[in-house]
Amino acid sequence: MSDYSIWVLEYGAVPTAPKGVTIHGTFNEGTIKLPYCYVVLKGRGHIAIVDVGYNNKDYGRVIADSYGVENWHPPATVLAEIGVAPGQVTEAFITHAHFDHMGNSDEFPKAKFYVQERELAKWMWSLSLHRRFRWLNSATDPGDIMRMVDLARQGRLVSVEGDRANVIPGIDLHEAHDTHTWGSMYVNVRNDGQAASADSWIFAGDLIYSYANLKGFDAADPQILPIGLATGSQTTIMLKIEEMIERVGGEMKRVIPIHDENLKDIFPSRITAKNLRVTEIALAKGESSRVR
Amino acid sequence: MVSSAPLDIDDRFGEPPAAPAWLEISAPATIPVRPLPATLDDSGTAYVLVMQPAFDLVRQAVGQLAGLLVLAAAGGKSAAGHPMLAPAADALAQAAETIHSVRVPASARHHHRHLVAAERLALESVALARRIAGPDDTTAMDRALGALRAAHRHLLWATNALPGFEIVALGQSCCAEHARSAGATPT
Repeated sequence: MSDYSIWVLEYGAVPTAPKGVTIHGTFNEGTIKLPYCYVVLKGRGHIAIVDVGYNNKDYGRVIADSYGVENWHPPATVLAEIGVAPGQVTEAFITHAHFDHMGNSDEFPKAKFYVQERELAKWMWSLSLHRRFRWLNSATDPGDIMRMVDLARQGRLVSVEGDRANVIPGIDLHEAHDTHTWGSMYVNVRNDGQAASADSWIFAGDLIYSYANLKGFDAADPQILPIGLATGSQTTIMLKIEEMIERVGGEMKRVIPIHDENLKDIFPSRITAKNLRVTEIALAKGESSRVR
Repeated sequence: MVSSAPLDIDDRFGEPPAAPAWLEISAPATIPVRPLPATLDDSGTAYVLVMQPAFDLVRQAVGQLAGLLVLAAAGGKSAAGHPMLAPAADALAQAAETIHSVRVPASARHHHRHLVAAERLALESVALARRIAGPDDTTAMDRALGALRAAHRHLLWATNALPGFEIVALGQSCCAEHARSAGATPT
């Protein structure tokens, strides 16, 4: 029996995202649906979330109008589908500091936020460069950093340096520095609580966008294919993908790409009245299914 | 690289205001979305081209200040002595040269008003950050952060007043490259 119940919760989507964003090199291969999701981990006295989405108050209209994000719903609506309120969330693991992963921190008033220190330090460094380098820092909103000031003052910001095991029981944070961003990290849930877990799940942030990043398109001759957007090194991304695959014993379905619409073909799921998908990855002892 | 020549902000501002409430009044929390002009006249276009680097410098300074306030709030390096203060002040000084000398056409007055306010408030935040005695100096931190928040709100307003200005590159984010898919064939 699992220690944590795990759900991937869609809170919006882009119906026509270019495939080239998700897999480097597929520049002229059409578009795909790209769901926006959180991951909720519930068990052992904790309710944790992996990333918190974007601040719809500041940017929602612009994003909807300019970039085609549809059907955005707030955390209160999305989390209610699994019987959780945002105020119950105890930890938020921020895989990286882009506005669409960290911007909605205000919606989780009790959560302690975990961010790699390098993510902030290198962003500040990039701000000291000539404006010719502005691409490096333009996906992080200074307003989100200001919200981090409040979190720090409330004792709710945890600056993580590198890996951290058992950040809550059975859950590890692993650095993925100089990949998608300078201070990215991924989350490993050892759902049997064992150090050498036979029931590991990886939540990869934006290190991958689809299962194709893990195994390519030829089942007979798999290959790692990096994503289409990296501040750091594609080589490092590929090595981190390999590391994540090893941590789940080679069972690739356990490295979860939250943006992959194909999750529904692998795990049980349902569509809510708001036309959002709830995907159930695991159920802890005593927890009832939220998709059946 | 942005040079780090020191700028004595304290001399320009003297003592900080007792309370920054007026700043919040002039920078409402809610940003009304209004349609951008479909076309800009030549003078408006010229203004945008000249002002983009100045806008980016103010954004840069706001980001630097936000970052050092995080570090100060987390109990790390003090805000008052942080080496990022000087580059932030210098970026604002560079921005001010353009902001206060540019010819502002009628079509850009709204934008310019917000950018002037953002630059001034960010400068004020620099001055206030220099007075933060330590992580427990909550009053000084509140003032510096209040001014910075107001500066950020004015930047957001400015992005909404004219095309060509972004406080965050929405199109560069991992999940928001969609607008570039024009002409792509759905799969």
